Amino acid sequence: MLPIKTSKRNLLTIGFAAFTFVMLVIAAFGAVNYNRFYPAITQIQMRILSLQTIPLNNIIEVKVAFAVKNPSDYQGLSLSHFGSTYSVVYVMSPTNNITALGGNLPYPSMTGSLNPGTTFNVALTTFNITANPTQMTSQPPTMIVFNFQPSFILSTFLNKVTEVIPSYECTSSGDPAVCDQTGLTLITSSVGGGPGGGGG
Amino acid sequence: MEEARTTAARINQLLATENRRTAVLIPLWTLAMTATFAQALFQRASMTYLDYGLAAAICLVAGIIVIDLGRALLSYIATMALTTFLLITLLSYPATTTDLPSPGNLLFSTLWIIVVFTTIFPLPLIACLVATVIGAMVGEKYF
Repeated sequence: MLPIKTSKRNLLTIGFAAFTFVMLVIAAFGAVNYNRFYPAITQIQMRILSLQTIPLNNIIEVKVAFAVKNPSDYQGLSLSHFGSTYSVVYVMSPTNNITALGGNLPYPSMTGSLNPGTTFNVALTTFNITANPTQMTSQPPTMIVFNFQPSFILSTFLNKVTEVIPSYECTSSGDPAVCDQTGLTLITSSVGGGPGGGGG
Repeated sequence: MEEARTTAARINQLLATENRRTAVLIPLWTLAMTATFAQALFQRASMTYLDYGLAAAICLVAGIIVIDLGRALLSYIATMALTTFLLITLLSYPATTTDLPSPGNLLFSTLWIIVVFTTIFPLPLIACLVATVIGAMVGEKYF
């Protein structure tokens, strides 16, 4: 019995199919990792590690330290340009609060890896607030609540096309606290005036 | 031996006519192009010269298989349209199904549409078209 001959063209088609299969397998590995990217950026945790208040006459020196953690198993994230704004709420009485906008916290330029499961400790920063916002009365506030709005640039595989900036909201009156992710901003530059946007 | 003969007979039957061959080739070509672009965009959000070379090589081989120039051009247009659609879907879908905070949830999809279009158009599209035409000419001469 003679074997059935397969033409060169058919053999090339079979080779093409085999190559396609190999490329699909390679792309599948990338796809699996890519699918873990979005959950990973939403899971990045920010918390106030410590918040110390030291009264000095009419001012209070505040020392705050933040920590950022990547609890996911996604590899390839790092942090840079950490920054934060803050505001202070003086609770004078159950019905009387005074809010003071504080501005930006001074942070040096920093970069840090966010490997799976690791925590990046942001350098301690110090700022001063007034001890009593109503200087006329001697009644001091019963409690001072700090609101921080930290954010940072998240370096990802998307660096060539966009900067990913998660922003958080943290509230504490002196204890360590977990922050809530409130927004995700993308700043694009190299993809020709693409999408950009402010925090949520 | 008998099994090999049966398989060869089935393949010959599957690719017996030009229409059947085109019907088999377009999905394969689309998947190969999508995989080539996707593996690069999944990792770097951009293509390297090697990736573009690979895409051009795929078009060259597909052109050789098709042989007929008119059919090759039509197949190429269909392939690139399907590839673009598949790429945008593959890249945007995870962003839309994850509960991302605003405005990132909306911006990622738009970003990927822009990235896919700037990656494919216009030079890579033209380069692959040229590769397809060359492939068809080579196929006509040698197959």
